[in-house]
Amino acid sequence: MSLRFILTAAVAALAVAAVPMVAAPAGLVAQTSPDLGMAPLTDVYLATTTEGQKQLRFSAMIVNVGAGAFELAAARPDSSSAFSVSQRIFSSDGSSTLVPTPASLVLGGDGHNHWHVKDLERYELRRLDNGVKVGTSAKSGFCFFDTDAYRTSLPGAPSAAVYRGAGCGDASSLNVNMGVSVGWGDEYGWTLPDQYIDVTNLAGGKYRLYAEADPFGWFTESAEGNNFTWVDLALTIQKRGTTKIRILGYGPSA
Amino acid sequence: MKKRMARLVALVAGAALAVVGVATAAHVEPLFVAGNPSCGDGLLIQPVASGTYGDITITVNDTAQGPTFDFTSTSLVESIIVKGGPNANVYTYVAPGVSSDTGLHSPLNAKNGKFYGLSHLCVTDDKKSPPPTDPK
Repeated sequence: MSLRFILTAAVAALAVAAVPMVAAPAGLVAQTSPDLGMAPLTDVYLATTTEGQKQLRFSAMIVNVGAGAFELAAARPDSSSAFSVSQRIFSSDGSSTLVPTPASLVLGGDGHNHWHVKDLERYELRRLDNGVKVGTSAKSGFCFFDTDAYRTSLPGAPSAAVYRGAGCGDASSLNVNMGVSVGWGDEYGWTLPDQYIDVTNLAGGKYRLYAEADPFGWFTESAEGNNFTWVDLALTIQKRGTTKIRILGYGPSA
Repeated sequence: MKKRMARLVALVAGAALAVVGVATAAHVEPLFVAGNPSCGDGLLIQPVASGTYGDITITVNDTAQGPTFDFTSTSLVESIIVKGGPNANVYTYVAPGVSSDTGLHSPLNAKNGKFYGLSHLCVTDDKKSPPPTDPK
């Protein structure tokens, strides 16, 4: 093999590696998509306010069990404009491309003065016998980042958090960057404002608390069929009007 | 002129105090939670006695209604679970949390009309408020 051939091949290989993923020959550069899912729901409690509202509270965690980070980059020209939200798709050579998404951002809403991605997750309560929806979570916006290590044995999972809370910006931000690393999760604890479903007027019976990541399929990921989890529970209304909760079982999770 | 300036200074000082007051002592009504909620990654304080535990200092008071406690903290507190008797009260504070509050207690014991004894406390961080020094 001549030196000239080796040099030519090396230059060609470097050139291919530098080309964005969309222009590269198949097989040389692979897209490393995230795979969104939900960890098992935990801390399922029935809470009652002093005004008598009954709240089904729970902790939920969206996780990324894919091959690449889940990252959203949002930008706007000035502070009075709405954000345009794109997903950054990474490739095996380290390059990335931005893909526009229909997602939108909302400010605050849960007492936190930062930006939230609307409808990143959805929580619903359904009757177990016929699937009819009887409740939806008060929470609809999510500022997400690496709060918990979930499955750091996955290839490419960082050992420490990469995405941090400051990525959610504040009211004056023109650029916002949120993400969840491979093998990490973003938890919403049961004590957070809005992290509940109002069950005040619900009759006793069996229900399914359902949580889904990316319910509208806005984001690119390697598998769409594993985005949900659930917990089945029984609510019993007692003579004094108090409600008791009993966990019946858990559905699949990421 | 001096009077006007003094009035302005007083107004600014009052406004500043009001803002600090919101951040440091926004008392909230508790949520009643049946059973014994998990403390998770929170700071568990058990037994409950006056003293300093990490960033938080609590003072237990013996009142006619039963035991209550006050707290001050060098970091912002976002929620406190107060376990007593078979159930718990949960105090959740609007972000970014508070550095003090007073008169927290466990649920009421319907048999004697008093708060249950303080079994344990759990001070939790909701993870969603970025620290001021967050680099990203």
